[in-house]
Formats: sequence, structure tokens, C-alpha cells
Amino acid sequence: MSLRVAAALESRGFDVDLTVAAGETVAVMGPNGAGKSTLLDVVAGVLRADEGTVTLAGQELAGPHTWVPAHRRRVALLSQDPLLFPHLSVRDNVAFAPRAAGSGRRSAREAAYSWLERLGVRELAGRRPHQISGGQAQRVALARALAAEPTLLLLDEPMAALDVDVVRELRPLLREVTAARSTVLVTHDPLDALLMADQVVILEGGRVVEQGQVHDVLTRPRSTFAARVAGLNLLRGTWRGDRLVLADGAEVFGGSQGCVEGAAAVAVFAPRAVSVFASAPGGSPRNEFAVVLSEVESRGDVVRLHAGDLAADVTPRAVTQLGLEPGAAVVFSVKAAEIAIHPA
Amino acid sequence: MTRRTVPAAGLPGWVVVPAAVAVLFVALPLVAMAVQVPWPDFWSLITSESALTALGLSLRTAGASTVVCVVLGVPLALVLARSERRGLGLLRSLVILPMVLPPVVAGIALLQTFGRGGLLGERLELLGLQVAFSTVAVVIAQTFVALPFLVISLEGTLRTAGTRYERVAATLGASPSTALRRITVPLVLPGLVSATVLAFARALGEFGATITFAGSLQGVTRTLPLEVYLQREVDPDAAVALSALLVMVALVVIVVARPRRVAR
Repeated sequence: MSLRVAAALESRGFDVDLTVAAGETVAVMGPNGAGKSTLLDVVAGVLRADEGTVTLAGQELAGPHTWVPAHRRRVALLSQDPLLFPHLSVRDNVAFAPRAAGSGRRSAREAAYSWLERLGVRELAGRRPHQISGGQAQRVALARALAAEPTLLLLDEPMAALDVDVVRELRPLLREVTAARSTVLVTHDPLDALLMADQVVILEGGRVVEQGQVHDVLTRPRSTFAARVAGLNLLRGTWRGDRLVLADGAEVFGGSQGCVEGAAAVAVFAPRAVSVFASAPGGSPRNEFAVVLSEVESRGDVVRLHAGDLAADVTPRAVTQLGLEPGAAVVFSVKAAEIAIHPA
Repeated sequence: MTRRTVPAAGLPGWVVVPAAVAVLFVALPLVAMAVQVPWPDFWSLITSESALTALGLSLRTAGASTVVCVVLGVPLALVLARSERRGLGLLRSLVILPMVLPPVVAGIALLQTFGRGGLLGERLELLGLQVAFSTVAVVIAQTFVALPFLVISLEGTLRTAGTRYERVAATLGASPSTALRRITVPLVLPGLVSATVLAFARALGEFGATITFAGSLQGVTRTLPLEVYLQREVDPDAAVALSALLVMVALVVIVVARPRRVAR
């Protein structure tokens, strides 16, 4: 009852190997163009990979000599656009899959009512898709996908187009629905991954760059993208004795765990752990990075400074005192105790 | 606050003048005809035996060719709109050809195909079928010229509608045939109706290919446009009245077939 994708598409620079255990929810995250949609299309059977296989619950769906068309895969897809069939009522939208599977009109309708009931939108059954709100439409689309009784559920940023309030209502529902189902969830929101997923997979440039338990990946990121999602700074380098040596020769000191001499490792620290000085302060043992600010961004009660891949959070007062603006040369300073270094 | 009518943004004012001339150019002949229709005799003119025979034949043949157009044209439009094979551009040009061909030429081409000594004509004759100069020939001529109207119009609608809903239907377990029947066709239905009415109108007005390939035999191949052409010499009043009748039919067609937005 598990999904295994090992597929490559040369034209899109896509080459992914991924496993989802039965009943497990895997969150897929990554920058735009990382191959998240390609992955879903390959699994759903909308797109055929050049090589590799897709196996679901022991059945080969795609391979060098097999091709199961989308409608025989039992893989349902819900995207950010609910795409309810505009010419059918809400009830008939949800009854569509049971009808297509050969159910009679009456039993398909009963199934539709029961799914609408479970998702809390039974009272909308008689409406047309254009008569309901975006949040309601997404609930109906979810009911429609579940009514197909899929072996695997694909969710492609299901809440990206919804208002914050609607997301707050919908998230627990999605959590409940995905709990016992094999699900692949593409999302931009680390909260979705934390609340719904067992595993997270980070895609970058068509490859899996990181994968693991959601909590581990978000607290101990190894990839730049995962660090950004988690709101952390990440520096790559090589472990030398008691320090991390970066590509430019800079040295980083911090608390380390399991690092191997001469092997790649990453240093991770939070933007709020960074102090900003006009020039190097000296004194207590600190890590210091001379940087040029690229962006100054207001975030409510703090101001986030960006300098290349690094970020620092400071008070608005510090910004005026130090004259912090894009182009300013400053020193980012981080105490060794605030930095965690682990193998990449 | 006063409202003034101004041309749409970016449009130079002078374009209104040639635009108005164009409208006059189209409207004036219709007005001229409407003025000269012998209205007191109108009813008796359009219900004369020859007129009724021609009208009946026109409606039957145009109806039959419309059915053929739908049966053959809808699948063709689907292939043109949805297939990604190479060479489809060429196929599309071929299909549109009858739209731009002089109808007389279409008639000649059909004679070369189905007529005596034609490509298929001889074989059909062996089977005891003679197509040219029969009612079947009228239907063939009308289908030949009307088919591209249906295909091109419907293909545009299909392209506008896109394939997003069909993809969803597939992930919900619908086979391609089910998706076609339950999703695609209902979604493009308004466009399909317009395209069908357009084909019907083109078939109803067919003249050149019909007279070349089918001739003008009363009750067999003499459709309403042919009757108008014939009456023009014999009884100009009848010709004008019948023309007015065809204009009315055309107006109904335009009202039914005017472009509509596709449901999205």
C-alpha cells in the first residue's frame, strides 16, 4: 500500500526517487520550478516520464513497458483551483466519481451526500459552483476527490488561494482527512508540513535535496531552501577539527553534533541571534561576518536585514542609529552558543 | 455629472466615418429589398407550389447535411483541438479549403468524385447508385461547403475551454469517453449549438456547388436559393419575396448563433 516513484524527465531536468509509506503523508516543498508539479503529474498519470517507474500499492502504474492511464490509477488530485465542473450542481460534482466507477444514480447521490456531510457542506448540495465561496468550493472539491475513494491523494497547494480565515478552518479538516490516507502534499507553508505531514521532502532543481521527519528538517535543515522555510540562516562548509571552514576560508564556531573531520557540514542559526555592528566589536569569542546589506524589510516589531543568504533581525531603533540601508557595509556577529553545526 | 460618449481609449475619432459607411453598405441593400417586397402578395408568393416545394427541399437537405456535419465534424474538431501530432496545421488548412473555394469549383470537384466517370462515381454506379443530379447530391454539396464552418468554429470553442476539467475528470476515474460525454460536450454546448446553426445556415444558402453538381430539378434538387435565381427571370416579385424569406431565416440564425462566452 505504498507509493514509490523513481522517475526522470530529461526535458525538465527532473530526476526524483521518492517513497511514501502506506497511510503516510509526505509534504513536498521547494522553490518554484523545483519539479513539484512535475512530480504530481507523473504520479497522477497526466505526464509520462522518460524513464523510471511509478508503483502504487504493489501495482506498477508506469514503467518501461507499462502505462496505466490516469483514470485507472485511483489517484485523486486536488489543486489550489477547485475546478468544480461548472455545469453540474455541487451534489453532481461529488457524485461524478462514483458514477464514473459504475455506481447507479441513487447510490452515487447517497455517497455524494455523505461526503458533503463529512466535510460540513451538505447544505450546498443543490447549488452551482459559481454560487459558492472559494473556501466552500475547496471543501466540495475535497469531497469530490475523496468520493473517488483514491488509494493515493495528491494535494497541490490546496489552500494557497484561500483567505487566512478560511485556511484556519480548512486546515484541521485536511489534517483529519490526510491522517489515515497515503497523501502527497505540495505546500509552501511549513505549518502545513508540521501539522499534516509525517515526512517532508525538499525538491530543488528537479532533485530531492533533503528528506526526513518534518521536525528534524525544520530544526536542523541541510538545504538552503529548508533553512529559508524554517526561517533560519544556513552556511555550508567543511568540518575541520573544532570548526566549520566555509568555501571563502571564513571559520564558524558553534555547538556541533556528529560532524566528521573533512566532511561537509552546515551551520544553522536564527536571524534573531545575529547582532549587527558598524565595525568589528572584538571582545568575547564571536563569529563575525563582514557583509553588505542587500535588503531591509519591515516585519512588524522587528526589521529583517538581508545580506546575500544571511538574515538578521534587529529593532527599528537600531536601523536608525546605525543608518542601516541597502548598500551599507556592516558586521553580522553571532555568539558560538547560538550556532548549531551538523553534518550536511 | 454629465456623460459624454467618447470613442474607446486609443481609438482615433476618424475611424467612426468608414465604420459608419461599412454599416450603411451592409444595411442599405437589405432596406432596399424590404422596401420593394410586394408585401400585400407576400404570403401568396412564398406559399406558391414551387416555392413551398423548394422550401421543403431546402429544409430537408440542409437538415440532413447538418446532421452529417455534426456526426463527422465534431470528432474532427476534437482531433484538431486536442491532438498534438505534427502535420495537423496542414490538415486544418485542407479542412478550411471549401470555405475559401468558389462554390462552383467545389461543384466541379464533387462531379469529378461522385459524377459519371468520377473517381468514386463508376464504382457507385456498379452498385446501382447514381449520386450526381439527385437529392443526395444536394446534401453532399451542402455538407462539403458547410463542414468547415462547424469544424473551425467548434475547434475554437474547444481550445478556449481548455483541458483542465478533462484532467480532473480523469483523476476522478472517468474514462476518456465518459469525460467527453459528461464534461467536454456539456461545457462546449453553447459553442456546439452556434457551430451547428452556422453550418445549417451555410447549407441552406448553398447555391454554386449545388447547381453545378446537383442541377436544378424541381422537387429533387431545386432548393430555395436556386428557386430564387430561377424566379428572378420569370417572376421578379416572387424572387424578392423568397429572398426576404431567406433574410428572415438568416436573422433568426444570427440571433441563435451569436458568439457566446464559454462556461469556465
